[in-house]
Amino acid sequence: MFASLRKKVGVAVAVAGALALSACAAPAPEVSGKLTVWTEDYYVAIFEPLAQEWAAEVGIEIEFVTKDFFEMTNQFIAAVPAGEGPDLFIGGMATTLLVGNGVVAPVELGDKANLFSANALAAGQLDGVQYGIPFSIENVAVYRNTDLAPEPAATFDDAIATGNELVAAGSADSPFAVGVGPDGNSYLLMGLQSSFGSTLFDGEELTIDDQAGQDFAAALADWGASGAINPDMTLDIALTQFKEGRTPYLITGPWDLNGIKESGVPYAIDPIPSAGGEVAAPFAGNYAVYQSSEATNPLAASLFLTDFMTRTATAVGIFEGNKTLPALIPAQEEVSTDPDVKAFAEIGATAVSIPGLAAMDQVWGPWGETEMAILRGQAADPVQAWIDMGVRIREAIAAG
Amino acid sequence: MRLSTTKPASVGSALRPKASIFGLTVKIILIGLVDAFGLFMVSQFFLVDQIGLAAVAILGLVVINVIYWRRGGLAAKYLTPGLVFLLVFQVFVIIYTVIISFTNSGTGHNVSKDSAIESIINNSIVRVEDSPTYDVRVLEQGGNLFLLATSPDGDFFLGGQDEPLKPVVPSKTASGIATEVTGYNTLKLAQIFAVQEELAELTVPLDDNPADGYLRSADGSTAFVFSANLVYDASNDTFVDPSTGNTFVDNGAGNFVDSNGEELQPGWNTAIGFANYAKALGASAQVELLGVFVWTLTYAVSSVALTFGLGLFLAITINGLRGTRLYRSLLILPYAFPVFLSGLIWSGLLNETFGFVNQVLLGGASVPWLQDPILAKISVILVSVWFGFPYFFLVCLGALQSVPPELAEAARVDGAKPSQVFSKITLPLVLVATSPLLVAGFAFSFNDFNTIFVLTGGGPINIDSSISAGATDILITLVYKQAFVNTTVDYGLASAFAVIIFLVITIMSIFLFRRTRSLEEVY
Repeated sequence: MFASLRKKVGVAVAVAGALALSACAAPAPEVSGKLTVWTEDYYVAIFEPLAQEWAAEVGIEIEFVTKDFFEMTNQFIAAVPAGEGPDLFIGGMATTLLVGNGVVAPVELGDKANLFSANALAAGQLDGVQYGIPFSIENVAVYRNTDLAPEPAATFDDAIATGNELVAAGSADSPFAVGVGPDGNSYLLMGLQSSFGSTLFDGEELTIDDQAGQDFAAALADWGASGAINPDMTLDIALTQFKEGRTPYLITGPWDLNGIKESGVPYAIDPIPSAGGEVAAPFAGNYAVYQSSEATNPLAASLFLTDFMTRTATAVGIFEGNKTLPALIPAQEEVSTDPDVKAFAEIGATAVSIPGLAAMDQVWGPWGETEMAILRGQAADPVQAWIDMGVRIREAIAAG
Repeated sequence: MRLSTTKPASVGSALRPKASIFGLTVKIILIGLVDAFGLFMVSQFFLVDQIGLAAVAILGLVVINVIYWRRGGLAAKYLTPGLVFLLVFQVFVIIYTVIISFTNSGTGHNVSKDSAIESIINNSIVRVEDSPTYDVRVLEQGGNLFLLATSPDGDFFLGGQDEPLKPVVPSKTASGIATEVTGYNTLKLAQIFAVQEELAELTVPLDDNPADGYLRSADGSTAFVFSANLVYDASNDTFVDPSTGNTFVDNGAGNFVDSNGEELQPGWNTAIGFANYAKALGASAQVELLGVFVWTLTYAVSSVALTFGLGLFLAITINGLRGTRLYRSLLILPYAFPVFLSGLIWSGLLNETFGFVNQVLLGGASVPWLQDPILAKISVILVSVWFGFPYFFLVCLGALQSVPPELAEAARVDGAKPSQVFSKITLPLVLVATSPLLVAGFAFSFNDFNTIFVLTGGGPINIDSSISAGATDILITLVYKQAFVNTTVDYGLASAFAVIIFLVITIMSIFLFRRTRSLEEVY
């Protein structure tokens, strides 16, 4: 009662204030029937034409608001409790974070859940409840310069041997390019790490520092010492070297596909060659749409998720824009005629999702730092450094 | 001189003119604008239930009006605008930071307790496994919403909020979907949009036993059977899991937890006393923190000293030369370039394998500029000098040009050597003008986040550090690493660190300003 009374007083004062300001109007209460969507400019361009068409069909209005990619998740988290958030949010899958901050609402897909790739859908869940509706799945692979290396490498050692021959012959500068520098990039290296059988978590139990992980650490030290992986190579340098034909192999994702095509370098997309004997499984990243827990248009927002996002035409339309494998299975079948997408999709079938645990935040830092220290030869005993890393991560998780 | 020749009376009236209509109008308009803006602020504070801030704003408005409408009190009239800005942009920010430092504000504690409870309730409502999907229509009667459901078996039910489903005989489509019931108005999609928030709240019990679940429809055309796996008990302020009897209680730190320590997400924003300060000054990290503090001091002092030294040297060299203005324009360039960009460029230039410095200038050497802990420290200081010297060059040039040449000349006539003239006459006079800037420069370098963060990110990494402190991490970059771990942000902890750093710098600045006052007594 008191709160509502205060609101009334507030409105009265607001009216007085507005009168005093005369020209400046007090903001009108939010009663627009407009579905508001926040995302980065890249996805505004891709989603807006498709969504406008759908909105016209359903008979609602939809408005896209362009947000800065690096800021938008935190802005969304801050804006929703203040009642200033949008109805829908499109971005990288961040289910644990968004649910933990109480800013997203659950969605029930019903039977339509079967339309989605199970892995992608699982990344949008927490404790069995669906929050994010996935639309694109991406993973890294190896781009191979087919002039320099006509055949795919069977193992990582073969790839390095080929690369070293090319460097010795003067036709390449680096045997293998992966943009780990200067601060470490465990995301890109995960394929190599997983080929030793290393995983990050088993359930909620940390497994990164088990025997398989330690084997990877020892190999990493060798690669750093032999120059197979150069810790000074940044993302930009790696990409530039590949585009200029100065390295036969590059680990990166579909986001560099257009740039590499434009460079004119003849390329093939291969699975990451195994270094430890097992399948090199890269991380799978997912993009998703979330509904705000404070959506002012809950019906329109859930229609967007359960109708618009489950249509094959929508998924294919998004694919036309981002050239990334759709999460919707009927759309996957439709776009798999594109050889590059097919290659990425086949590699993606082996990919592992980034663990959807809050504890993952405590892993990235020590993990990347330790990898860099080992690559640079700054760790006297790489295996011990890897074990110490496990201790640090456990302490950080325990401290919350 | 001229004034003294005119009549005193006219001087008086010229200095204290009668309030003109024009002046009064301007005054009314200006104060009116301030009052309107103030009232607007007050209304906004009220709308978001910030009663305290609203009271402060009202008080402020009253004070401003009293000051400007009463006669006399001229000093207050001049001082008030500055004081207002000081309060709003400095004092308020500091107080706000202090307040935040006593809360758990950050990831996982982002919303109010009421919103958190509402979220937990909503998130705990899950679809009953293997339950059927119902086709529904949204009906309205007397302002209440109802769901007309067709079960997969082709049976028809009607129910509303707290009114369990009961069988009905509806009109239906050719495919056997119920569409209308007499006495109720079936809503079209456009009409449903108008009531979508009510629809989102609508839960229709399956039968009289609430444990059997209820129907909800998010889209107005299909409905699923849901049940809650957590029940909120408002009288005890607890959540209970009905299947296990597990109870979650408010732990006083912004979360519901059970006896096993399992937390419900989300938590909420609440005061937690000195916990952040205890964490910031945690015993485990004290020795390392001291190391970081010493390096921060070293960085700030050497950065300012070298920057000032180089700036002064160049200023003396160039002062009076032909083309001073050209040099001045050229030397402003590093300063005119955003630190964030040139920092990235420097980090590329100093790359061990691919950098321009090693590749071209040193002919393919591999000097670990940013990788060796000691070399990296030297590198960041040198780059910070590169960023900062043009500023002190300009300041010193100005100060030098204001030193009267007669003083140096007089000293020379008295037989002083050029070095004596510099150290006894010129330098002290330049220092009088620049010492407050040196103190400010020190405070700036102490918190020089940009240079360190862009150039080395605090690295090279020290994997033995328990607080992730790299070799070039200064306090502020370390705070950033501690408080903003990937997607986890801890505003409470960051604010506690900020308050501690603020106190350190304040104490040092007070001390340094005392010292500079003795310099100013040279005059």
